Amino acid sequence: MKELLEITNLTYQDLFDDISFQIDAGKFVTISGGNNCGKTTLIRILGGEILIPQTIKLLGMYIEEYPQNLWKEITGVIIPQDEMTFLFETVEEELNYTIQLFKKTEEDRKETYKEIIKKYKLTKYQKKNPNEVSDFIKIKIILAEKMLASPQILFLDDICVELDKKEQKEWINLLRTIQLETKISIIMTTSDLNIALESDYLYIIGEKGIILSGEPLSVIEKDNVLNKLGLELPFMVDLSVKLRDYNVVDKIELDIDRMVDNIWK
Amino acid sequence: MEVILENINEQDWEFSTILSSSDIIGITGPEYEELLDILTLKKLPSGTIKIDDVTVDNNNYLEYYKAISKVDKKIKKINYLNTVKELMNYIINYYHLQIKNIDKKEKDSLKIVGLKEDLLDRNITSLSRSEQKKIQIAISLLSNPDIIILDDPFRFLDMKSKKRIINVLKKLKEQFNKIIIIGTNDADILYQYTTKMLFVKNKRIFYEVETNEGYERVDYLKRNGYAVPNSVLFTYKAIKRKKVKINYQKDIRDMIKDIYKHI
Repeated sequence: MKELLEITNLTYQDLFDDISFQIDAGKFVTISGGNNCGKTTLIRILGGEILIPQTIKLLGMYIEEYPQNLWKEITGVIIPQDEMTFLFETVEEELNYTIQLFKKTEEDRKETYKEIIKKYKLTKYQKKNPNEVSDFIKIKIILAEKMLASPQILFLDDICVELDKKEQKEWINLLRTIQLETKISIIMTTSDLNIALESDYLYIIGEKGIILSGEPLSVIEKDNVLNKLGLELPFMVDLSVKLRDYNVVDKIELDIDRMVDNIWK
Repeated sequence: MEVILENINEQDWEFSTILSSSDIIGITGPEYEELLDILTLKKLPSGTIKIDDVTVDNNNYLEYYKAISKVDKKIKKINYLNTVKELMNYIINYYHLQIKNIDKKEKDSLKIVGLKEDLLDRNITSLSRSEQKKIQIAISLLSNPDIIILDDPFRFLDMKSKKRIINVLKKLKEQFNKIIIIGTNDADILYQYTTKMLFVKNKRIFYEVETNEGYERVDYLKRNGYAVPNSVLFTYKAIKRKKVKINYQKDIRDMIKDIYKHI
């Protein structure tokens, strides 16, 4: 399969020193690391907001070679740290404005609106002012609008850290649903390795760039490296790894009940 | 230091409690933010408030209001203020803080939370979320407050930063007798770092308890919709389902040793 995203010899300030990696199409990839390792900066670079020429190729072509409007259509970038402001007074008007840019017939528009409200669980918020709802609702509105352009890739900067546990679950489920339907690729940074466990592939950023990568569980069990970076292992992974060192269990177990059964047979 | 709150009645809340500097106090529950707001004494609520035996009334309450610092969920952006230094200077002027050497005080407050002093000249919006959080905590210390109320203080912080901040808070409590109040719905954090818990519900203090004792009542918490820390849940299940005699442990290494002894 052709690589979707190809990063070659990326060097930027004192954050990244000559890093290269590829991301395959259709995957849900997470990128993690301690405070100030450059997660947000990396999203800004990959999303083309900070332009570093001759470094990042999307579908075989350098970012800077894309016409601006085409680039905006094939990628969706969400950075919750940046201001999230909306033009319209209600969520309904806000969404309908964006919908009419992409859907030609009245019937099509109505249908799309209904679908979005249902899929993004926005029923309760239709008449609310989008600038006054919670960050989670704002993020969902932004994602819904970006998805209307049918992008091929989403760049999401640590969104889960803004959410509570229940919202995190809903968010991950939403991303997975969207991915199933559209085959979109998702690149999301996260400071929480519990979230990384939900992805297909995980990169860990250390001092000068990527220091670990692979299937999430195989990366997260490297407790010494991760602790040194300031990352906290998910409790059940931490427990498994340490019990394995004592030869009490032989594999990582994420379910508490099964773990209890494994230890005390 | 001790704050006695008796028959407080404010914004439909009704409660009595004692907040003391011998505890790190945790507040959790769906409406915990409202209680944090009432505790900032922005407005004098009806009821009796005594701070170290002095009754707070309309004549002296501004003095106490100034002695309370709140660290909000997120940094508030004030339009014309750009750099960290500008924001700090603004706070110092706004609250008429009497500080001899402002420059030194500002640099020191950054050092306490683990930030470099060259951050003073950085634009606030250019900082990462963890840096912004630490700046907020540094600012809250500028006024040398007696009571520090923190809304979700560890969000955005990695393990290293969390440990540093909790050590700062512990030191303030132990050496300077400050009252530390942490509001959050993150059960793992509350279990790890607080010593007394206020579980709130329906605008009341529903359950006031020493932290360990409270979190070990797993059935009770679950029944009332509160989250239970993972480490507690594991130990609880081991005890209940396998009848093993392991103890509740906060440090995972102690937990491992305990499990090892009981297999």
